Amino acid sequence: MDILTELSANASMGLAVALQPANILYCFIGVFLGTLLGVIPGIGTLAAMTLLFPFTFQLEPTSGLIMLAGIYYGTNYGGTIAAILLNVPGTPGASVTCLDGYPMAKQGRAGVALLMTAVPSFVGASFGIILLMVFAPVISENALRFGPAEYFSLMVLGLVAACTISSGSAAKGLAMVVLGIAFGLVGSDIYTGTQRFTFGVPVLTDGIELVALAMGLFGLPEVIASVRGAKDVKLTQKRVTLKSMIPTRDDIRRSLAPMLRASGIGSFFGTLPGTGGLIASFMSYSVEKRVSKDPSRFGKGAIEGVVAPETANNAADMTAFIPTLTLGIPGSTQMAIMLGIFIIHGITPGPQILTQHPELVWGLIMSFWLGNILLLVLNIPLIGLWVRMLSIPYSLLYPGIVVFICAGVYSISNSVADVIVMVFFGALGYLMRYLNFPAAPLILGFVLGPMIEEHFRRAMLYSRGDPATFIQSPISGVILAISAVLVIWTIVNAFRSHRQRRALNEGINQV
Amino acid sequence: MRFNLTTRMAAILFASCAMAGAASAQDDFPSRAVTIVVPYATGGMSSTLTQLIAEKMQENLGQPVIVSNQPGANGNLASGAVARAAPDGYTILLGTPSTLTLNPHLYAETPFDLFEDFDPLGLYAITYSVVLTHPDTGYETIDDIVAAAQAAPGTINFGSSGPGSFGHLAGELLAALGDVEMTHIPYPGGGPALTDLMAGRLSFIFGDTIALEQVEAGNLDAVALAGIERIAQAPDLETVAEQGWERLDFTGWQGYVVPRGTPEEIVVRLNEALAYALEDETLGQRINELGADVADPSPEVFAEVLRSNYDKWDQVVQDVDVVIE
Repeated sequence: MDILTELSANASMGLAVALQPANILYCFIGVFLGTLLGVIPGIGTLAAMTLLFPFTFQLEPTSGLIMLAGIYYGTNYGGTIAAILLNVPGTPGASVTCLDGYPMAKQGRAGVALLMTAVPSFVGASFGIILLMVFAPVISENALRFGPAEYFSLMVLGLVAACTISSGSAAKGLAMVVLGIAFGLVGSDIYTGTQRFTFGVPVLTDGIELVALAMGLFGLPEVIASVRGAKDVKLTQKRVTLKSMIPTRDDIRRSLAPMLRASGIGSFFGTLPGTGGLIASFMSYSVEKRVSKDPSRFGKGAIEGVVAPETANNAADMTAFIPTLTLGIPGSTQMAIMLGIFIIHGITPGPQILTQHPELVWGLIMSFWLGNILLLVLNIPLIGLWVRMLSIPYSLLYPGIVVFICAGVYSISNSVADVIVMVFFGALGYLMRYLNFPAAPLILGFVLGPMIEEHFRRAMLYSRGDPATFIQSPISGVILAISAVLVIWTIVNAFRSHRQRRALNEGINQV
Repeated sequence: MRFNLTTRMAAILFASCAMAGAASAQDDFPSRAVTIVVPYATGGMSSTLTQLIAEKMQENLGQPVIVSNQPGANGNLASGAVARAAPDGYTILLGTPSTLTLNPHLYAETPFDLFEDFDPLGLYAITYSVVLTHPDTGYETIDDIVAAAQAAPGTINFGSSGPGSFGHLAGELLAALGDVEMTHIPYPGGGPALTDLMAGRLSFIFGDTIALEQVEAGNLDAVALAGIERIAQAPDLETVAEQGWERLDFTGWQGYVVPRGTPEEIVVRLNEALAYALEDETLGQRINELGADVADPSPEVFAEVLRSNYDKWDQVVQDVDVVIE
């Protein structure tokens, strides 16, 4: 019962912060802008966060982070709208929703699909928030057991997971992780202060600015691509009425179990470093398809196929905060940016954050609830506005975005050099896009690579050079063993599917 | 409390317009916005305090005072930039013992010369370091730490917030003075080092006075104040001087300098504004809350501090033999 009283004390402390009028306002602005950018195809969660975070600079850290988090989870809601109405996932996480959401829209059931993504999203998010509230303090209390060896192993697991479980080609993912690590090495060696790969350029002495890199890789290529060939979008339905949203009793009955299962699946994958929302939605979709009595309905407008990925996606978004806040290990690319922004605001996530900044942490967590309620309430009447958003010509939209990107990057440390760095990564990002290389693993490598090095070298300093330290600690040993199993499983799996594919003489496209 | 984006933009715009026709502006200084360059990212102690001071100085000067954070290369980037700025009083640099008096000795190359490029404007805060250990170690004095290192060579680890930081030099100096072997374990910032000290992985650190909270909570022990005289924030805490280690005095400060050659009446005017800011009670409280004391803002005091610190750190760097390429 002690846990319950502590939990409710934390919750009420958080609510007091989250419900301050200013914070409600920033939360609203965050989810509103998040949805807005999420609706625009191609502007994913990352691009939205990097575009808008400069606006949080001038705010108090708590308000700023509340707003930024609102952008983070708000984009998912927006992404879903584009997925259902256009068959274009506004965010990568919504790509699974296209599979059944768009067929539903074609059947004239777009309203039901939209409602049945909004409500389950809220359910999934709530589930995730509860887990976050329960586990964050537990992990924080035990975080002192996590020494350099344990951190090293956890992050190795994260990188291994990023390479192996990611949805695209494992080889390309791996290549991008390695490239990211290489970029991460630029700057001063934190152990000796020696310059590495800075080529005498003063602005590189502290390394490449994460936000400049992320904006370059995610923001600019989108714009360049749109210049080359922006297509006019074709909406399935120009108007979505409130009445059309009412689901049938059958819809509700079919949705309940998937919602629960997907909450669990999503929450699990959210905490796992290197995975996140997209994997979670893929997984829960395939689980639903597998347990369904009639799998052939999937892909043709099955309501479960919309409910499951959206629930999982949003649950994962919330639980992703657990390792980020309590250990300072970003589980996903989005969390890597979030971590960077915490640090820009002068707050270092880690075991101490709950004791040093309890108001901020609990206020932030409780604001997730507020934000999700706002999203639910907002999106139903505002769907009409979002639909109209989709018909703004890109030629008006994207030049404005470029201005925002440049101003944002400049504002980090009032440095033109960061803007140049961003342009460089914009060019690289465009090339990668052209060649179909994923950018997310690069960012994960960029963030986790140097952290792995840091903890590896620290562990070796403590052990006076004995590598056995990584296996002697039980926590570290077990995590490394899991990583090894994951690598072996992937290799075996790749080998098997290769043979299967040859036998079937066709690829397995579905999940 | 901070400037919002639009005020800042407006100020910059205004500043650049004013620049064109402001050649004869000496008599009515300031006629446009004054910028304080902070060589660290936002959020740290010096940056937070400078924000508050800037607001007060703005009141006194009647012109906007803008805080510009330009982190990089341990402060060398910003210091180098201000060293080359026009000596007209419109650009002020925040300095600490690290950025102004230690870096020139520590780095193979620094983009400024303390005495050739800067004139002191005034100090605003005096900061302190404390020697912290884990309660289980049982160390009560500096001598205990040295004795432990002698008894079991190669077992003592000390943390710091990075190579060339106060914590790093202090630990190395202790090892050199005590003639014992200690392993330096750098961290990216003071917070993570404190965590590993609480977990018992580190033997000791020279940390900020803000960590005294953890001492009160019973998570850490304070062995000594790394200064000469006791402080009001921890009146019972012995100083390193009392324990016979006066060379471990790592008392710090935060203050402002201007490019050398700034007309004297302008320095006097800015100093007036700084002194006005420091009279503010809330600011004084905030400085105390952060474990520091309000400093005497006179330029003469600062000039003396710069001179003595410069020589002190020269000696320390020679003794511990640390160089950053």
